[in-house]
Amino acid sequence: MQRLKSSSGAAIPGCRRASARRGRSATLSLLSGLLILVAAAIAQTASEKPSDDVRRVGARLQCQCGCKDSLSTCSMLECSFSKPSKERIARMQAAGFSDAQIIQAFVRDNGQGIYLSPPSALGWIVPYVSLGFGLIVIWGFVKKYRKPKPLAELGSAQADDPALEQYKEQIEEDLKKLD
Amino acid sequence: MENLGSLAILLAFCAAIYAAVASITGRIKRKPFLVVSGARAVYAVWSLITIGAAILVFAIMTGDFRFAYVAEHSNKAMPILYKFTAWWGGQEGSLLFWSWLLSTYAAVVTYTNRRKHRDMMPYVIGVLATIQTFFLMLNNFIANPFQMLAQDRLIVSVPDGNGLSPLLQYPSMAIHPPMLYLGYVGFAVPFAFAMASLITRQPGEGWIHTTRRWTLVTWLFQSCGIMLGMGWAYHVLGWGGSWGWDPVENASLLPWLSGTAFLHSVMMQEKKGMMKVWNMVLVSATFLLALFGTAITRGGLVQSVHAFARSDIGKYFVAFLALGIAFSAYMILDRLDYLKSENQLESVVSRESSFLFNNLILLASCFAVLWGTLFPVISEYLNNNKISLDADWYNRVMVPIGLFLLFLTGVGPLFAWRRTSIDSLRRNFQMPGIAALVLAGALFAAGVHNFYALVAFGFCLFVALTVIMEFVKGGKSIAAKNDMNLVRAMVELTHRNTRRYGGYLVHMGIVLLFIGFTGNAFKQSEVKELNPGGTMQVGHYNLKMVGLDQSENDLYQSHSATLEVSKNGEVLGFLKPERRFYKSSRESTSEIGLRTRLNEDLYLNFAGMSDDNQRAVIQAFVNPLVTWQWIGGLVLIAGTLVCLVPSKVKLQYARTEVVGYTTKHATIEK
Amino acid sequence: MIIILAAVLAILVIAFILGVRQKDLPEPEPESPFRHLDDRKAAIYESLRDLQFEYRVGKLSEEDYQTSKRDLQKELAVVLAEVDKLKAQLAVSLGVGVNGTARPASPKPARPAGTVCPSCGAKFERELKFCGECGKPMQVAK
Repeated sequence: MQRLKSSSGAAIPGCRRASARRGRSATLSLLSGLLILVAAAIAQTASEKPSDDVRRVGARLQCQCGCKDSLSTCSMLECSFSKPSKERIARMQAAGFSDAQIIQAFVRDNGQGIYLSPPSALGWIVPYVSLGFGLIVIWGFVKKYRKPKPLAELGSAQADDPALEQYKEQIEEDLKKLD
Repeated sequence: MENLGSLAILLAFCAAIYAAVASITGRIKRKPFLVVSGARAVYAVWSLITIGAAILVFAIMTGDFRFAYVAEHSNKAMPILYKFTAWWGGQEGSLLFWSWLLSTYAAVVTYTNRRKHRDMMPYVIGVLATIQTFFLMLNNFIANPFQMLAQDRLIVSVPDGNGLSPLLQYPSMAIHPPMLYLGYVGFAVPFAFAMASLITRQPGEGWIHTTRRWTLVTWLFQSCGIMLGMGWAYHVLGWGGSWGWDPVENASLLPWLSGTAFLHSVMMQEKKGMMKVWNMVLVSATFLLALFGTAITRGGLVQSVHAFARSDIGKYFVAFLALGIAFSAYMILDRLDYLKSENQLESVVSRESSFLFNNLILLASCFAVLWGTLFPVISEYLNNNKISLDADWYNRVMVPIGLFLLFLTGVGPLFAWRRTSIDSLRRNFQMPGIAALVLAGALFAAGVHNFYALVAFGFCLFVALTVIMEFVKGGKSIAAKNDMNLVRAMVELTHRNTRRYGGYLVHMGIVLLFIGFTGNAFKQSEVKELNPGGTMQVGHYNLKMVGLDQSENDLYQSHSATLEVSKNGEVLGFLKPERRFYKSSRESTSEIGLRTRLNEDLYLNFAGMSDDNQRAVIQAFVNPLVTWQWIGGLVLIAGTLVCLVPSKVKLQYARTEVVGYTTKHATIEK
Repeated sequence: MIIILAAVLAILVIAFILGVRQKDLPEPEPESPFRHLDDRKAAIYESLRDLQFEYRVGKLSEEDYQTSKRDLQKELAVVLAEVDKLKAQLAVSLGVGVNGTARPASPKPARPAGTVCPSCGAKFERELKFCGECGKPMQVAK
């Protein structure tokens, strides 16, 4: 659960000695861009912590800022895409649009690529199929290792067991020592 | 400085290779000199990595911003504690931390077993040193923490660093990563023992005692890590919950689940010499899942909100994982004859079968989580269909599985080893079963109509009663025999068999955790933009904003709201949620306002300011029963600690003596 | 300065790893060949003790207790037989007296019935109900 955000992007961590300068300047330009936003940042809207409704719709839409996350999970602060989009979802919901209509609007504006489908049936079936498979394995295990029941003489076996008879005395003696 | 650090980890790399090669060759060629020097190389690796780490930490502490790592992950204004935690705050440092922990484990294992497992230890060292070599390879050549900032081939320094992510500047976050890493890394030890026992075809289960203890220690750290992470998410992230089924969270859960399965099924091997192949598979799977978890956290194998560095380190992990899978699979398949079961199942209704089901459920949940983590990747790869799984999906898949697991937690210990007749079952099930049904009925009548919640509460009571009965029955028996009061008798009982009764305590912790989880079903939340003087309502609480302040210091700017909390017109107190904006990292964090009671938490989050910068956006949550989650976590940890205490009763019996061999009286510790 | 430090560090490490003197080598300490059998024995005794305890606190029915106890005792007998067998083998191969505290001075027990097939003569490590070679019943019905 190491939740970490590298706010300046991946410029620094990957740098080799030679490329450090380039990385640094890239960071700096990114930084100056962000600095302008600093003043506004403190006045963050509810879009930073979207409501469950916004999150539900946002999960179906991919963020276009370059990350691979959905709108609801994009972690970039002041993301140029996810932040206004979340606000747009909230506004449309307030205006009474349905989830499907909102998603449609986004697809219209950004192309089909933005849509993230919910998990298909495969997503549901596989965990339970694995459970069923496990049950079969257990059944096989039990079948293989189940001790065959001695036929009739369940009670008399104890007297007839020569191996046990031979050591019985010693076992009893040792057992007494245990308590 | 930086050169010395680089040299230290480079030497460590060489020493680790030497340790692996020397130990294994020494063992095969029967050269005690090589074996001893291999073991010494393990200590050398530890010392060298310690030197390297000390140099890095020193650079962070003194603010040597020529180091790229220091400039990226710390700054001058950070408190000293968080400067120290910056050691594992970034990619290179955390991998060095991994290496250091592994070398510490290896050194401790080598030292504590210096007179034990003579024929097996060289291989244990060999396996551990191989893993160590991999991580030192990463430390040296892929993610070197001693890189300098350079401009035109000249080493330069920046005036101040970026600082550690403020989300991590929180006390439990200072110990959460070390705990979790101790867990991840520690699973290498049982794996090494398992592989060594396979290679040497150890007769008997003696090595299991050592392995089980190490697994338990590691499991304890992993549990602590997960609980701390949940606590951190709840108190810092401000979304009102503690578990979001994020890939990184899932990654920490995977080895925990398979490790739990191993701790249970290993009893089958100890008691009856069965399921040896399965246990080998579990030990290997647990270690590989821990590696997988590291790869997710560190390598961005699966895209996650929180896997921070999107570097190419993932492919090295994939390669090493593949190697690990191939090696362990080969070892197990090659030694199948040695892993033959020594015993049979006497009856289908027995403790043995309950372990089978326990393993099935733990593994199924492990697989479901793994599947959920990988499914989006697989799906996109297969048919280019982008999907996303939300927390809802996990909840729907995992809740039934989790409830069944809870049920088994209660049922398992009621079955006797070998066989359990209907008569025995009736004795044990009747009382808790009826009580659980009565509770579920009563809750239904009282207006709780959530099916899962009813089942969960019923099972919780059932399991709690069975655990209590175990303690009371056992305690009574001892009390009668030794003439002591019941409480002392129960302590005595636990002390006599710490493993079993510690285990029951862990089960009790699980029950409390489930009580906390079930509370989620009754969560209420509300969001509102408030002016000073404005009011809102959540659950049966009335909130009134009485103040909205701004302040600023060296590290951050903050907005805070003061809210008066009242219930039925009676003022209960004030809460002060706050939002901070950290200057150097340009990230904002929440300081939530929390009113904790055993029955429910009132949780206020300052989500931000409204667009016109006039009103505060306040999110309010009522989280029933959350506190039981934390209590459950503590009980679980306490129970695990009890398991680690050596049992008081030791079996004193005469070993078989042979002239020319050892003639000591042996003590078997449980 | 840094070069000297680096050299010192490298030399120290190499000296530590390779400087193994004769007296640092551990004495070979033979392990009892009975260790795994002893462990097994201890595990079964432990199970027996557990069983008794569970019976005493009322978790088990009388019938379950008796059957499981008998099974455990049988298992124990198998292990004890193996111990005796190994002892006899060692006595032959080492040519020294073997002294078992468990069964002092007892004559080498005959191979327990059920480990040698009366039909085909195949020998097995442990007692079997049916021969693993020819499949005929191993124990002569009484």
